[in-house]
Amino acid sequence: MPRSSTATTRSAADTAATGRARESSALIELRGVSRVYRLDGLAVAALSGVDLEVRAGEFVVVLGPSGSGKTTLLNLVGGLDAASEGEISVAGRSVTGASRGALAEFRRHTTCFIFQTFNLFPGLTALENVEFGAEAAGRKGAGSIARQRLEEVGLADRVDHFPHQLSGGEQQRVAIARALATGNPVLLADEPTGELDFRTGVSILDLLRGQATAGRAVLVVTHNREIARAADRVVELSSGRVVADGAPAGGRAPVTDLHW
Amino acid sequence: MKRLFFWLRWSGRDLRDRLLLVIAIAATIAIGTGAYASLDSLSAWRKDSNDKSLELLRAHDVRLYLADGSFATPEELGALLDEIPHRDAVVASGYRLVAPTRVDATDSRRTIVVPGRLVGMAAGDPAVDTLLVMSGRGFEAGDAGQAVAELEYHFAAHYDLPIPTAVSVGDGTRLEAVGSAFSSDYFMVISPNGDVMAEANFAVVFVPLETAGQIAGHPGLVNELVVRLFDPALAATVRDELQGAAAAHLPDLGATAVASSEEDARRWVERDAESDQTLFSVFAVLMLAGATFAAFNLTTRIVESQRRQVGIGLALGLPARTLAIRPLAVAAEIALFGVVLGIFVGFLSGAALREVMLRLLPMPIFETPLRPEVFVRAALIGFLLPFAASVYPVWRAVRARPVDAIRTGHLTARRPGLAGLARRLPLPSTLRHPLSNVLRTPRRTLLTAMGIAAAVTALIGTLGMLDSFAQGIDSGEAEMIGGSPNRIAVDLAAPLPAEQVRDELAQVPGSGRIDVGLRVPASARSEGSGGESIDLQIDVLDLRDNAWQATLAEGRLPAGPGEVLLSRAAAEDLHLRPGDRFVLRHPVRTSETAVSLVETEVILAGTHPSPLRPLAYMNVDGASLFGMDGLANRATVVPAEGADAEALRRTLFGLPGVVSVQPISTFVASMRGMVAELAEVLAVVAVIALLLAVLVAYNSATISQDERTREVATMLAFGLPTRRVMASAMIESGLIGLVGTALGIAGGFAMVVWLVYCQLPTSMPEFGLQPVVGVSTLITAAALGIAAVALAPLLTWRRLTRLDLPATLRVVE
Repeated sequence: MPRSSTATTRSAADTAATGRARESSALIELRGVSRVYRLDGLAVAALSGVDLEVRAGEFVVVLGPSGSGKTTLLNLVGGLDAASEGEISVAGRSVTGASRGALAEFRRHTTCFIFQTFNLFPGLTALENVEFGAEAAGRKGAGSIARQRLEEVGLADRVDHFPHQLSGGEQQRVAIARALATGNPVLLADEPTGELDFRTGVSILDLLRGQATAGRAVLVVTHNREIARAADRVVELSSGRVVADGAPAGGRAPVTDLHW
Repeated sequence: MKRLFFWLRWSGRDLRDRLLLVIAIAATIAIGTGAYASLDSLSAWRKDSNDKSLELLRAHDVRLYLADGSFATPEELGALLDEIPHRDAVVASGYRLVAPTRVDATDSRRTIVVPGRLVGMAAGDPAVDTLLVMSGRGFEAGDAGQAVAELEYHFAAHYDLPIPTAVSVGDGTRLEAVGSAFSSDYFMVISPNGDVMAEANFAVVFVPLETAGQIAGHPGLVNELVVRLFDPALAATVRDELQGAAAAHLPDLGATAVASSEEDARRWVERDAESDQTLFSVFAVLMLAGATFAAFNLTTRIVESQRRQVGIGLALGLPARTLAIRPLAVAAEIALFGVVLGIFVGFLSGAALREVMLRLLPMPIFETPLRPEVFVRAALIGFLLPFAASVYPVWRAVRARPVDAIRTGHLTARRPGLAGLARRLPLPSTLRHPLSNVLRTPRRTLLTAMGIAAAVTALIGTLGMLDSFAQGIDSGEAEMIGGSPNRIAVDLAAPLPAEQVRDELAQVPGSGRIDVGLRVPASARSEGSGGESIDLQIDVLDLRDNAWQATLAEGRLPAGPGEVLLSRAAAEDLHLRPGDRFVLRHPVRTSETAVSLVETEVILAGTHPSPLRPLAYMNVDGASLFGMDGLANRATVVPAEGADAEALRRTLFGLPGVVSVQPISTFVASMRGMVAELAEVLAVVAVIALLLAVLVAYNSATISQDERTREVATMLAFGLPTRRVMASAMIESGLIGLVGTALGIAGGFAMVVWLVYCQLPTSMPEFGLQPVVGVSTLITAAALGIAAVALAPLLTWRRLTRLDLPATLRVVE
């Protein structure tokens, strides 16, 4: 699998976007955030009193077992869900109590998602899927942006392939390219290597790491402790609460040193 | 058994989770089965109601009538009953005095003078052929010999005559009409000329027997014997015995016995009910086919959506036949629900059709019960087809490899289908994406489109028939009026010298232009008709100098005695083009009282556009063909300018030898009346087709949204506004609707052509139409098949805004 050259290939627009992001102290801020689900009269606290900051250029892994609230955290930051309590601010924009339309606009211009199950559009080619991301964010020249992103992720020769014609790793790389095509400063990844084998997963992590180097705030949710070793910071959740927040034990490891 | 209940309970939850969609699919099936059950029952309802009505009125089973001018005493006719072997089969008998007459019901508003029939009957409550009084009162015993009358119901209703009212019959005998009533002989009013639904031009007046004798100048005499039998199946036998007895004991009276089933009115009702049923059954099948096809497609997709769960079950080691229970149960429950709802739809549509029938063909009893055998037939189809729809996808699901079935991508298309085509088109992504979705699953797109097409076909089929009728009626009206809408048609009892007729009519105050001619019955056949002949009514007149102007569809006006102008429909039936020869079988007057039938080869000069198949014309020199040179039995009179047309009509009717005086507008109204029944039933069918199409559109949109939930959630996760996502769904739905509508219009037009050329000649042989699909019909189909289908996703707006994005986007945490 060819290594990407994400760290060195960036568009001017992306540089400007992330450059603006670096200027602020924290790109993602959570203060006293809780999320309670009410199901048939039962109250389930998925998150309780979470405080968190992520700066531009940081690669933060949110770690925890199943049911710890890590995906709920991601959904709140990404504007897919609304907090029950607390304040959430991303790239200087408060999403607390925002209307549906405001949240949609927020997602268009501030965050980009990468899903465990890729969620590519099966009826669109790789190029068209990535173009979709650029167009959704309102960027001009979606076609050329899409080609650049696919080249960055090493799929320049697969632009006309449909998702079912791509391997799992290739599909996830298309999903990453689609997210990057938005040019948004915050990248959110939910178990991005969950469906992939080890070697493919490593290459995906390498791409994501590269985005942090390029100045984006990258928040990765995983239960895989090995992946956390590649992070700048690891935020550990348990039963909806932050139980640890700091550099990985033994310091940050290169992606190539990981093994699971 | 416990495990079976478990799967059935689970399938019940599946239904509950998609309750709205289940109801919509079930409603689709319900419309199909209910509409089928009612439309396919029309003939049976009419016949059964007819039989019950006849029973209510104690209708006769056998009638013995004497030749014109012959009379007998009641005792003489009654004595015949003692001479027949099956005298014990007779439960009741009665006597009548029947005579042709003229009926004048003129009031302050209008002139109503029509030929008619005077029927003298027992006053009180006769044991045979009683009257069912609809307004006013019936005869009482004290009315015997009094100047009171009952008006036949259809005549009174047509002219909306007040009861009581004054009428005069014959040469001016005044009667007080104390009521209007149904009579078993006149559920369908047929004039002596054979015109059906002739209540505008033929009035029947019932009077006490003694009164009839005084009016007719034959007091104490009768000319009809009517009997009821305890077993109507003996009617033919008793008819023959009575005929024999009359020939033996009253040989000079020219008696004829007929069984009731041979009476014109009753035969017409039976034949009309059966022939109309052929047409209605076509629509019944179409409704059912459209509904079950749509349900078939939708049920397939619901079952398909469970494939992953079936795969998970396989992975857990459950046997395939166990896993098949749940999706099969879902399909069966939806189908069963639909069939049960169909009972209510059947009642509702039956009630709607009943209202139509009562208005157009009133009779004392008209019942529309749900006929179990018809409903069961519809229910079986309505149940089996959607259920069968589940079998194939369930089979596919249980045959899939578990590892493939449980992958989330397994539900998506394995191939991109025709999505590559969309890439080649220079379209913005807002259009390319929905077009791609439509093209990547061509089989599913086509199936969905065909569901819409079925509903559009049904709609175009019904509205197109209405368009064809409307155009036919308009053509017929234009041809009948022929540029002279005020003409009054005068029919004579017998042919008279044409100049004499002209002179006598010209002397009537208020007469303007007068044109005389002949009306002759004939029949035509050709080599191309395969021996089949069609009846004609030939008008012989001066085609080039007449108040009425013939309208040509093809060819030219007849120029010589051997040339004929036929209706376009008749020419098509005979496979004739202008210039072709055909055989005319027609009467030839050999003396004043004798007529013989001959065959003559004639030429088709041209065709006219009237839809009335029998109408034909020859130029005045054609009278020689019939041995009637210089004679006329018919004339048209145009009122002079400023003349009182009503007074003119009254005066014309008073002339000796005149049997009918009718404005041309009356004939136009009769023509419209002939198609009214069919047209109104079709209107009910059109409403049902409309409902069906809307349901299909809603179901398709809902299921499409279900199938694309993850894609929709991804779009929303990328921040696309909800309205853009909805717009994409609407475009996709509209594209499918476009395909479906195009198919439906093609199918609908083919259906109209088939109905007009293949079915209508059986249902309405006297009518010949051209297949027409009007612009408004096409617009309606487009509005429904494209616009309504495109707008249908809006009904899922609430679901879209409440979509749980986190849950939809990922595997469970």
